[in-house]
Amino acid sequence: MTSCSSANMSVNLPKPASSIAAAWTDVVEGMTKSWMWWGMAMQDIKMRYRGSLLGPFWLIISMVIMIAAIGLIYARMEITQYLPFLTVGLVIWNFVSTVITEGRQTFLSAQNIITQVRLPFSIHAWRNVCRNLIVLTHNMVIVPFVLIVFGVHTGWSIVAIIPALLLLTINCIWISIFLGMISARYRDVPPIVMSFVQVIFFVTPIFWPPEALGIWMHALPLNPLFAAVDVVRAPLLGGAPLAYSWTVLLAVTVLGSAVTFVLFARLRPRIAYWV
Amino acid sequence: MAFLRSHNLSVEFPIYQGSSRSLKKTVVAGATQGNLGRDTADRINVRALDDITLDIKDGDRVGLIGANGAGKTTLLRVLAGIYAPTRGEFYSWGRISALLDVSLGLNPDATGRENIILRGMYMNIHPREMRSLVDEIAEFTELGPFIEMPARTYSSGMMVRLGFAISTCMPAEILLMDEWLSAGDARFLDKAQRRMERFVGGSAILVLASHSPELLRKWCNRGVLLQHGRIAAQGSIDEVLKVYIGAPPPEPAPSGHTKIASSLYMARDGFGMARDGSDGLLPQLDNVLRERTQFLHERDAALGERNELLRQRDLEIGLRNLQADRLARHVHRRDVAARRAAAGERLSLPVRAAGTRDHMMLFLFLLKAGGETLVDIFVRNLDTKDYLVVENNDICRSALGTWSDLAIDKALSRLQRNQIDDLRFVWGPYRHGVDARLPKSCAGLTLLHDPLERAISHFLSADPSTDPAGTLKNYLSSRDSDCPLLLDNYMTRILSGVAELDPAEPRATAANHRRVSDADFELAASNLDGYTVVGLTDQFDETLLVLGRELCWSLSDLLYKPITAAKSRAAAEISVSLRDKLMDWNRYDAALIERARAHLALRIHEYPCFEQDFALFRKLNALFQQGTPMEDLRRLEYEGIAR
Repeated sequence: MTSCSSANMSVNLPKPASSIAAAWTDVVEGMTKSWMWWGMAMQDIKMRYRGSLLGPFWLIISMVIMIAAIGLIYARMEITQYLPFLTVGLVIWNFVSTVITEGRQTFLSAQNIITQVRLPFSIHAWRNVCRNLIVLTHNMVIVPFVLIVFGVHTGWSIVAIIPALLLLTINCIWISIFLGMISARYRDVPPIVMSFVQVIFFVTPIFWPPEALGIWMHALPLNPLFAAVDVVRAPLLGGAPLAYSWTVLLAVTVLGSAVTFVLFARLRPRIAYWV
Repeated sequence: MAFLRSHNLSVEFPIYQGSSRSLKKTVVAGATQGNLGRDTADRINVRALDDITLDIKDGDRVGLIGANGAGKTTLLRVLAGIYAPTRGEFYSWGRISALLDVSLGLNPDATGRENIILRGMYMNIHPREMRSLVDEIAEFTELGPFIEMPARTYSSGMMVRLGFAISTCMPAEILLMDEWLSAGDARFLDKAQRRMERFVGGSAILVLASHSPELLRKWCNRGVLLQHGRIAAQGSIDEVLKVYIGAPPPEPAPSGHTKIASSLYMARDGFGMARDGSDGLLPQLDNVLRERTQFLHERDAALGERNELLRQRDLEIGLRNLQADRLARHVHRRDVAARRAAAGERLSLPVRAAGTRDHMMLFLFLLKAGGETLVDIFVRNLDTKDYLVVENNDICRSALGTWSDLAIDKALSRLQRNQIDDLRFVWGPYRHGVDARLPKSCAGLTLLHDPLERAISHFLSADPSTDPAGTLKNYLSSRDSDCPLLLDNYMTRILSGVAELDPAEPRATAANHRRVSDADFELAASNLDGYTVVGLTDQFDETLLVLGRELCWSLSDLLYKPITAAKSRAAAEISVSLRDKLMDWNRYDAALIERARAHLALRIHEYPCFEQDFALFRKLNALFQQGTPMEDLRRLEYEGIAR
């Protein structure tokens, strides 16, 4: 492992690699060390449920309880349509919102590691995303049950969730890095993000249909989180996402990744000081 | 090949942690009088490392030394690539294994075996690879069955063993270790050293931060001493440790402070602090001031030395002047004596002077005071080297009897020591058993009373008008030998013509003898030829001082040693109680003592600065008793007089 750059025996050492290149190396290296973030994420899950009787099944149970509670109380339409809608929406939302709230802690929670060993910083973002993907996988178990029980016919459109989830994952990565950096630098950010996520939950059509928005429907493209939920939810329910959902999500992915990468390239050396 | 190289490396910590950022900043700025650097964004920066230039090569075993908060851990983190330097350059090459914290990646709830895998993961070792190493690590840690137990059941020593074993399970080219290793016991450290050598190999690098000199000496060959984030010294480990242990500890931050608190402590100190964009003005100013203070100290020391040299030179000059002065006076006195001698006064002066009783006392004093040397000087000055004069009169009979004995003993002693070849005794009618003291036969000793007896008897019993003295005088002066001639006082008086004897009486009568004594007193009172009359008093030191002044002697010439009873009389010295005895005996003549006292008082009155000289003389004499060298005494005398 070289620290700043590779160097040879000569006295004239080459200049350190540019910050862009270093950041790129960081990201790529982080991605390729999948065994590491996978192991870390698994460890996180294990730690969370160590000593508990049901272990990771608590993830499913808590999700089921939430769906049941909200589904019974907020059912404004036909329950056979509402529950699948709610289930898929909540599972996706749960994934996205947890990545965001835990993204605040991407680097702060890894403080012990960051100040002890040199690892690519993106590892920690991957760890965060991977952990939540594992949780998502658990929760996803509920979805086929619900779809089958309520007779939802999905069809081939289900294939569309693959690029959708891929896109979501990419977004989760930059969000984890971005929020992780900002939160480490400005400690005011985590509570703000927390409040923000809670508010978004209520203004995003998850446990109520988008049509309920009325005239606010036109503002819906401004909510990228809706787009994120929509591109996964619609194919699973056998329909097609709203026309602009893919566009919004793609735009956010490109824009967010670019901004985050530039910021990451600039601020990466300072992260160790901040945590 | 591996290396760690840094050039002018600095690390600054921004302090803006906590949610109440602005409030904290205000508090900090107030508590430290705004001594902390602020950058353009109004952040507070603490410089933890300042201008570090290091070149660590293959085979270097570097010990990082320094007080708490000196920047050791920060430097290790920079070397490990964790902290990017905020200024300066840093390069490294080689696989780094950093053992900064024993608890890294150790999960207290996981078993030892799981923790090995887990920590390996943080060390960038694939679990698959790690699993093949678990047994070897478990064996080294000697945890035994504990390896299957949760890590929270481990003691701190077990944790250290586990941490060390995992960290060194893979060969590394650069091994960085923080001081937690010191927690291990001696046996573990030995074992750890062997393991480390095996894994690090002969050519790779070790950087170890520790407080333990033994550990550092054992493990390291190079040392780097950090103080307030700067390199205070580097070189071989022994040298650096010497500097570290020798130097006073640079006010350690109180334990229990957080990292930030200790950083602030450093910053308030004026060290390790800088303003972004400037180059640490305060440390520079400190350096300049320190250098200036050092320079002033050196200058003061040099001036003090010069002053001391000047003082000594003055002293030498003064002493030389004093000696020249004394010499001049002596020369003058010798000249006077020579003139008188040329004018034919040679015999009259010394014999007459020697004849006075007071001179005899002076002689006695000098003998007591300085022993032979002073007597010799006195005799030389009086130009009477041919004569040892024995006082003998009835006023202080006992005393002078003692003196006579002494004089005889002294003369005999000199004879025995071959200082004189020939000794002749001549005495008058008052022998006081002197002849009993003389050995019947002694080489070189001639008892003149036998060949002279008739002449003397005739002289004493005959009519003075027939001038038998002339016969005697002629005999004495016509002698062909220059050997010492011991005359008794009575004979001296008659020969010198001091006393006018009653021609109607035989010379040996009491009346004639009294007449001789009175003549002595008259002579003394008239202070003939400028010679001093010293009274018989108990004021011995005063007398000596007056005498010394009259004879132009310096005070140090007058110093005397009390003569202890242990010294034999054969050495011609008098006992220590002699003076007291003398004074006791002299009480027989109260009038004489009274006169002597008055005379002494007069002399003291005429003596300028007598009090000072007397005090000085006493002091010098006391020092003389303690064996102070004469040179020093002379110097002291000069200093005393000059003052």
